[in-house]
Amino acid sequence: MADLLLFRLSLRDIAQPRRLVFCLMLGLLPALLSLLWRLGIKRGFSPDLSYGTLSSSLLMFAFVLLSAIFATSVVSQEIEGRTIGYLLTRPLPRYRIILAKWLGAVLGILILGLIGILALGASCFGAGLFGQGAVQRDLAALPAGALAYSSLFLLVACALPRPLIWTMFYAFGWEPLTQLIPGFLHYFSIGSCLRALSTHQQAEGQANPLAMLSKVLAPPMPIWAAWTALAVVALAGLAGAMLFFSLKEYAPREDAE
Amino acid sequence: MIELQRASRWYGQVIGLNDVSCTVPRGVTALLGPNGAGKSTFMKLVSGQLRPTTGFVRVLGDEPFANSKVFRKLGYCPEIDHFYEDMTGREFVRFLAVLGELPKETLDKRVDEVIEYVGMTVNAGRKIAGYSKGMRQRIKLAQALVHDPEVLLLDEPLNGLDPVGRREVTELMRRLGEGGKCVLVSSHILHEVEQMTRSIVLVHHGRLLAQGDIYEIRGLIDKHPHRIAFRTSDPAALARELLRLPRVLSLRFDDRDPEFLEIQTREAEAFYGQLADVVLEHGFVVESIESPDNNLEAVFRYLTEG
Repeated sequence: MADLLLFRLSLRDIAQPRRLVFCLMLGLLPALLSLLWRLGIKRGFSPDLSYGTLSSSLLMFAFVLLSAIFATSVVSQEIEGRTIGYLLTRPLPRYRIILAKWLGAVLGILILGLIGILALGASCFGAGLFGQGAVQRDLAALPAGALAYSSLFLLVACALPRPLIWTMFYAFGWEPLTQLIPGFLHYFSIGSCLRALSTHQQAEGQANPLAMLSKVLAPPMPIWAAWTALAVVALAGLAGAMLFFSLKEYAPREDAE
Repeated sequence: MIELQRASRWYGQVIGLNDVSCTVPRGVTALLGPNGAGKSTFMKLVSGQLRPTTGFVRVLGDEPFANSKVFRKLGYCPEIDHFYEDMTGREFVRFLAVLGELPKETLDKRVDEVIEYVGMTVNAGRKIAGYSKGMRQRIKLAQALVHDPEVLLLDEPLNGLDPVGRREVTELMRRLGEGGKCVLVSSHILHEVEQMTRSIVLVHHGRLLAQGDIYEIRGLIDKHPHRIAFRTSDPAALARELLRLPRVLSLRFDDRDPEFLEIQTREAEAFYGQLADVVLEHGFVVESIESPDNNLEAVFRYLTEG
């Protein structure tokens, strides 16, 4: 019952109107861009190309941002709101507190990610979106991405101050960087794993030079390796977060004399 | 029930609590000290939110940090005025009662009981965001009491309460102490603490300055003799007789008040023993006897200001 209440508390945090509106806009942005694309081109509009290009931005940008916001807020919301003292002086083991709240965050990320993909699919393919392979692959990759990103970002939130900044460094610094370093470093990037799971059609001749370079430098990742890497990150991140949260002190600094 | 043994806590280069050893027994004990003295660090160590850098802290025989066994028997009312604002008072108390592992069968009954106990029955259905400071304080107290803990830590529980509320909460704490619970109250409202308990722990600059019964501590402060003030119809005659007593150090009259006399002595108890004989023997009419510095305020001042 305690776990369920914490799970609901986490969902309640996500459902705060301002945050929810911002995150919905973020998730729906690719669908909106697709509609504008369709309206702008009118003739010769390619649903596959539009979906492929915009779903990459959805997964690699909006989805990562959503995961970072929701996963870090599991801990930082309690610290900044200074309500963490209530939770940490109750007999419920700390790992259960973090686990229940994280599950709430994962559900929130999944729902918003799902809305984003379905809205984008509908804007590109109309009613036939469920028959599209690209949409199906994205829907399959979404839970794995949600689990992996949220676990990793939760670990960051439990271990480091100002976690949102670190997650941004990871998402928009480390992940693109691994694409440009020859070898297998991109196996240590959740984004690369997700790209391996959900391949999309890209605009021929319009692909950006960095994307072309990364194809040359980083060999394609087998699907089994992508699934394995995501599973390892999800499990290790979550275990690390639970361990940190059980051992670390979270008394607000302002109170410290 | 609470024990600190050579407990120190550092925050980087800053010391929060320095080599403190003390025990807090059953009953009400006041944790006193000026701002920045180390009260919050003390409370956070005992409530298991911080670990001591050196030494140890024990609550009911166990180290409290992240210890579920201790938290089952410990209630904590923090000083901070922060809540899950969109919850109602009842939801808040119920939520923390569930986390406190209260049995499902008695949960709602107990929540209602404790809400009534702190006088919040009428407002428990409202969102906390709309509460006054006093209501917030009461609901915070309710969440600390809901699982009927053996050890209760109350950080500035009288803050924000109106005089009636203060009296009620003071009375409530006194009752809890008399009921055998260990209640540690941090407060800076000294005269109200005095109505709650005579047992104090005084910290200053992170160090333990004094612990024990307030009057016993006062008796040990040699540097400041006890002042005893009289109102009598003939202060000069009374002064003449009192000066014969060996324990009287000085006398003071007040030009503006012809019935006032104040003496200073280092041995108040012995002086009071002889005073009765003097008054009866000479038939003095004494309207009142007061000891203006035999209280918590004075002891606090003498110990912290030197």
